[in-house]
Amino acid sequence: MHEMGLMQSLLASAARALRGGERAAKLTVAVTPLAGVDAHALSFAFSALAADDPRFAGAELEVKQNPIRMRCGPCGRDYEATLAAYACPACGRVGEWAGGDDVSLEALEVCHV
Amino acid sequence: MCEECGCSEANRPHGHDHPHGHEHRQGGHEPRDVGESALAFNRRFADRNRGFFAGRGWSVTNFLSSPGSGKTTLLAELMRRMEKCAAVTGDLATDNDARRLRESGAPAVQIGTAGACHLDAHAVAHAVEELPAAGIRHLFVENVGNLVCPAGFDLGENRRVVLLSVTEGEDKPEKYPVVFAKADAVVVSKTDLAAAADYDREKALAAIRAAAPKAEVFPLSAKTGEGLDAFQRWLETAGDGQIAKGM
Repeated sequence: MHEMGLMQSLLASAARALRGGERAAKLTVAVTPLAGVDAHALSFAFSALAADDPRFAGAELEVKQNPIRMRCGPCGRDYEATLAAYACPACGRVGEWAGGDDVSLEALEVCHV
Repeated sequence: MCEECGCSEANRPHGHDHPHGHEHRQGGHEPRDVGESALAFNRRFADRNRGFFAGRGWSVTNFLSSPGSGKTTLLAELMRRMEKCAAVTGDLATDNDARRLRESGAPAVQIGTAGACHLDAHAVAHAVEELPAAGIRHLFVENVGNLVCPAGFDLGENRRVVLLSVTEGEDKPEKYPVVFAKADAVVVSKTDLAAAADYDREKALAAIRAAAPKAEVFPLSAKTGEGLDAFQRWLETAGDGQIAKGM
């Protein structure tokens, strides 16, 4: 989707989480298939944007792929769906959305300079 | 390892002073949970829009599709048929669509995105300021023609409709599954061209059902009027869809 803009937002979140004199050693970003985010484009955006910022230069980026989570009403089962298959594996009915479609900065590893 | 202070190696001599001890975990790097969404900024405006729309008693539908699938023609026809309608329409350039929609007699505001490929909640918030405060029941948001980017942007709408014209290829939902995933309705447009386009109805319906698991499907032709009544009834009676319910 908008990997460059999304990475700018993620780095802004990371910058807010850093205290004075700290820098990021690693960023963990979580995406799901519903977010329509390409992990390679996200990594490219990270390389481009982090290089010029001393708080992020040299940091590592981990992109975690979270599954689409759904909950089946009739059988009460939590299951993982894909963009090609939303039906409950037990009963074949389509459940309710139970996971987000988000792109988020899940965690940071911080290093004290 | 941190190249600045080498703190993943606890006993390594340091060439600079720093206030931390060396007891910290994960190779000397302190883990810190953040949990902040990159889409939070848009979401705040979307929630604000939802409150604004509810306050005015508007029922808001976001229309998404590829360029040329018939969004403007469909909306112009709906605005002629339905009472108390208004529209906001997004394009990279020109106000052609807003002018076409205004010919229906209902108000329409053009959002010029100046190159941006989708509408966001902030742009919609400003556009609706130009609409009259009273006399509107149904607001139609015509997104920028694009099957990729608009999918990720909640505008504060009550429901989301994706159009697929019979000339686009029946497998479009398989190729662009994300935009279809949370559609509350899929309109199969231009059915008057089905024969000319060798449109395979069963194949298209199977692709739509797979990609848009919760959508109602409305085949219609805005040109001949075929199927419009059913879709109009749905718009007039549908409650909150998946986006509005935060699902």
